[in-house]
Amino acid sequence: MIIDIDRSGTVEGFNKLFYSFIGNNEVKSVLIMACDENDFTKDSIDHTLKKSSKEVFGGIFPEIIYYKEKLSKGTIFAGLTKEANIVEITNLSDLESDFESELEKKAEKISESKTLFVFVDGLAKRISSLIEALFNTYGLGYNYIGGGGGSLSFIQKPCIFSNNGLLMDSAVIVGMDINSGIGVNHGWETISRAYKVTESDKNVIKTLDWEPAFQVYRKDVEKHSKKKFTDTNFFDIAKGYPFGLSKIGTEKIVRDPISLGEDDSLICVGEVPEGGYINILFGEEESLVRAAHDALLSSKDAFGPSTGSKTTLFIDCISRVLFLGDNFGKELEVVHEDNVPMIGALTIGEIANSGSDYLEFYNKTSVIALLED
Amino acid sequence: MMSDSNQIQIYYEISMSIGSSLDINQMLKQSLSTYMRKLNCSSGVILQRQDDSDQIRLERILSLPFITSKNESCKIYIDVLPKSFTAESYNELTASLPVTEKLEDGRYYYIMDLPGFGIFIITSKTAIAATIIESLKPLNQKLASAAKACLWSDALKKSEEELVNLNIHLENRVKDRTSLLEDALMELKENISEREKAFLSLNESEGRMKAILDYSPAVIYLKDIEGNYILINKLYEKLFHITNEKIEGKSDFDIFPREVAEIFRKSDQMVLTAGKALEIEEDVPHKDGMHHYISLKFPLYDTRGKVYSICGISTDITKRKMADELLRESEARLRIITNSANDCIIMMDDEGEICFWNTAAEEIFGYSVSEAIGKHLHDLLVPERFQKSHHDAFPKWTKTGEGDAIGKILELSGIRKGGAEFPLDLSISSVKHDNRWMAIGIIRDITERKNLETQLLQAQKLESIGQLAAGIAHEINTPLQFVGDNTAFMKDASGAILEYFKLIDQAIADEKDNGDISRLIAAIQEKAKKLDIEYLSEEIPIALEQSQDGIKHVSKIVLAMKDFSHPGKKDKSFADINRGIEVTATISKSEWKYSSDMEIKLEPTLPLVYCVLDEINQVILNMIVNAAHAIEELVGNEPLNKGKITIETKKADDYIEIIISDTGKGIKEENLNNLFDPFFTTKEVGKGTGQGLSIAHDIIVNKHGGNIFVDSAWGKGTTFTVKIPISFNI
Repeated sequence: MIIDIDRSGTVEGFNKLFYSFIGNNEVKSVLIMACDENDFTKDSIDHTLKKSSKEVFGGIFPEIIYYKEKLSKGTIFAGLTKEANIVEITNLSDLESDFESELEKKAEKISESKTLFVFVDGLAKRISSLIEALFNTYGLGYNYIGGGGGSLSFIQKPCIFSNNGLLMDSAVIVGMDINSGIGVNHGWETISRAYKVTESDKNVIKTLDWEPAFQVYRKDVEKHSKKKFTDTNFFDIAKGYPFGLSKIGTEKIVRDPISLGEDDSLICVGEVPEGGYINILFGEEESLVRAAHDALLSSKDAFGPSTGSKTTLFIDCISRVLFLGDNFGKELEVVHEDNVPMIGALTIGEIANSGSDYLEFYNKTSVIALLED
Repeated sequence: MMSDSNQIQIYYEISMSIGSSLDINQMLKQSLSTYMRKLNCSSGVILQRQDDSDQIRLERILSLPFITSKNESCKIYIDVLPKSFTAESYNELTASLPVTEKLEDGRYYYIMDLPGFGIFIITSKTAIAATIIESLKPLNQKLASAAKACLWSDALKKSEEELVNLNIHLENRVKDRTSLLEDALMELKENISEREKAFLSLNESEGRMKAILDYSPAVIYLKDIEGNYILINKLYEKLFHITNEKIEGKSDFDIFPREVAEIFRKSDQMVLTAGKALEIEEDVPHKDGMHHYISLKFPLYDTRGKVYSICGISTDITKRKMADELLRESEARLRIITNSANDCIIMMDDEGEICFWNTAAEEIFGYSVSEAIGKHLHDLLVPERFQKSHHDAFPKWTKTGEGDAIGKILELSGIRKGGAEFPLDLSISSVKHDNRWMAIGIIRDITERKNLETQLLQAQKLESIGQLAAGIAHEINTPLQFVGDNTAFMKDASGAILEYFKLIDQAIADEKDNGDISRLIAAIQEKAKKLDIEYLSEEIPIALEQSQDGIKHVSKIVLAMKDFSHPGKKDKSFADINRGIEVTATISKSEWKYSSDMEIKLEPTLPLVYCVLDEINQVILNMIVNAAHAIEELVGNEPLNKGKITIETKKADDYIEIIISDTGKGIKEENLNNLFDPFFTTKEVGKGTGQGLSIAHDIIVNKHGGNIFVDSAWGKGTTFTVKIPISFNI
């Protein structure tokens, strides 16, 4: 894998590196990860993307990771030596969209792949439905790695790179014949009893135990944090108190409340099924950092012994950064290995599977893929 | 280690996901997904038992992920299961479940029983505790029950759909009787939300079905294949005085007379033999006599595809049949009426095609019904020159049912088979039928009347000419008189001049011999004086000029007479109304010049008008003569006390207006309403027949689609305004 970075975050810098990667004969496909602060728009980027003679994919994220650095401006280019087979899914929030039939039609295209990169618009409403459709149609014969693009302003805008330009409310599923090892961990612990989700609509929790969701949530969180919610500090407090969905034999699946709805509902990244139970979680700095390291160990374990060149792709949740603050550097320290290049993105939701667990859309979770390229 | 409460929550979530839909695929998929998500499985399969005659097979109805070349985890295990079982071996298998196995691929396989429905397999890379698998039993039981309920509901739903379809079919035939059923179905459909549907139990479905049956306006019944009743609806109970409970096990032979029951049994057997729905008409005895039913009977199949029952939906169509009969009679009467009419009755639809054609239409136009129906009316019957105005007006009519011709009686022309054109009276009205505009035309062949009218018009014209003759004769006579006097003068003058020339010749001959020129000149001068040659030289050119003027004047009158009295074309064409007014004013001059001055103000840019100019001229003549008479009655023939007739033309929108005003005695208010009645006149005997304005009204209003307005003040004068459409759309 050939890796380079444009730290300026400008369109000119993007174009310069883009053409150098496209012109490189060793490169068969290009993964691009850019920062939201670059302020790329369809008008400024589409022309270049559409001219590409090689497959391009990736996303715009709140921040990106380059070795041990966390950058809020700039663009990472990763030239892969394998060809990419890309399935593009649009209208991700549309209730009428039938993802399964769309994916089934294109199953042949990715059938020879070993690893699937999945980048989605993190603010789309039916990401979990897409993930379920991915599991149903493509199964666990592949390693999955990816995450949600978008902006921390939580305003939905074009954020997925493809050969058809910068896309909004869309996803790219990229099949590639490269070996990989995946590790997933988060380190959040339960601090409340289980609440029944008595009403929800996709990613919006309306009531818990038949009471407005925020009223239930604030009671436990204010008590635990010893802070009071005001009109302006919801996310500052909520970033440390996500929800957890139980499943047998593994960590809870985290759901991150990112904003407050008009009717005291809680808007999350990813769907929360009605009728289920959720707990409120809290993370200690130490447990989160340790979890990231565990993810690295799992990925190495899954990757197995290999003598070929490898790269670490670190997909970590932006809200972990917001929670850990300056201590996030510790997480980068523990997942970075000497002599192994590391690139990554700080995403709005993560996607991963190492071939054994049920495929999930995670929040506030560290996902590490070791890629043989 | 997971806490018990967490496990219970997980079981609860799995339980909640079961039975959330009555669609089996959707229900199983949602449940299996939740099982797998909550138990963190990598694949899952549901196999449904299929009972054939002597063996049981397991058929895969769902696998997650879908089984493809990449997703074969469960397939491996399915392949090692026997393809078929005996009832005994199947029971042995299910009795041994749940079974946990670890295969060579490192995965754990959990095989569980779905009692009465089939088998359920999930795989996981990590081991699931045996206690958890054991705890899933009640959930699996629920899943099996829900799956069976879905199958049952699906069968019911299909029956419901079939019932709805059959009712719709019946509704087409017996519209009024089945509307209640449709309303009930619609109401039920609207009221049962998707969510409610999902939670409906089988009993609720049955209840719904019963409600449908009981609210149905048709008699509905279910019999077994032996002909014994299983179920009847409320209407059946009411009509045949037997309850649902009591009818069970009874056959038609217990309820109806033997001969009727035999017929019913026979029709039931026909349905069983056909294996599909049949529509049968049946007579059923009621208290008040025999009723006529239309019955839709169809077989019901069990899950193995065997017929186990016959369902019948019978609708009483006695009243409908009677209504049909009455309708048929009414239609027959209408046919007799329309066919005995002397006038054509023709109906045209909004495509312009003929859809009704009576006997008179056949006789008058020469086309039979089969030749006329479906043909484009205007192509078939209307002369080409009228086609454009029809095409222009047609789009508006199809939208609004309105048009220039609607509600009027028009005199037009038609074409018979063979191409002969003939005059006709057309009265058109628009009616809306099935939300489409239809035109009904009543057409009368007026060839004979038209001939008579032409003769009458010609006679009236000749009468006018007769009346005008004396005046015209005078108009011609005056110039002819001075032409005659001048001619006599010219005769005398030419004799004198010839004599003068003769004398000159004589004098020249005489004086030639003498050679005395002066004497010659004196002799000529003497002759000139004697014959008054100087006077003749002055008068002859004047006489010639006067004669020429006189001849021109006569010739103008003769030409106008010719224009006016010549029987012109009967058909409408674009004509110059201004020219018609000038001609008419000229030939009628003797009628008005002694009593009136005439002012003619013609708009030079007046468009040509689509009319029969001869007829318009006749109208103008009648009005000029009336105006002259009205002035004469007021002022007499005093040259110093003349009245005034003003004729004006102008264009007003799509019409031209001819305004004829006079300063005569006017019309009394009480006479204004009778003005256009035939034979109505206020003139003294011998001055008018009372036909002039009646004919004018007929020509302008009926034949040209125009109008005549009168404004009169007694003692002051009258103004007639004639409006004629420039181009008249039919």
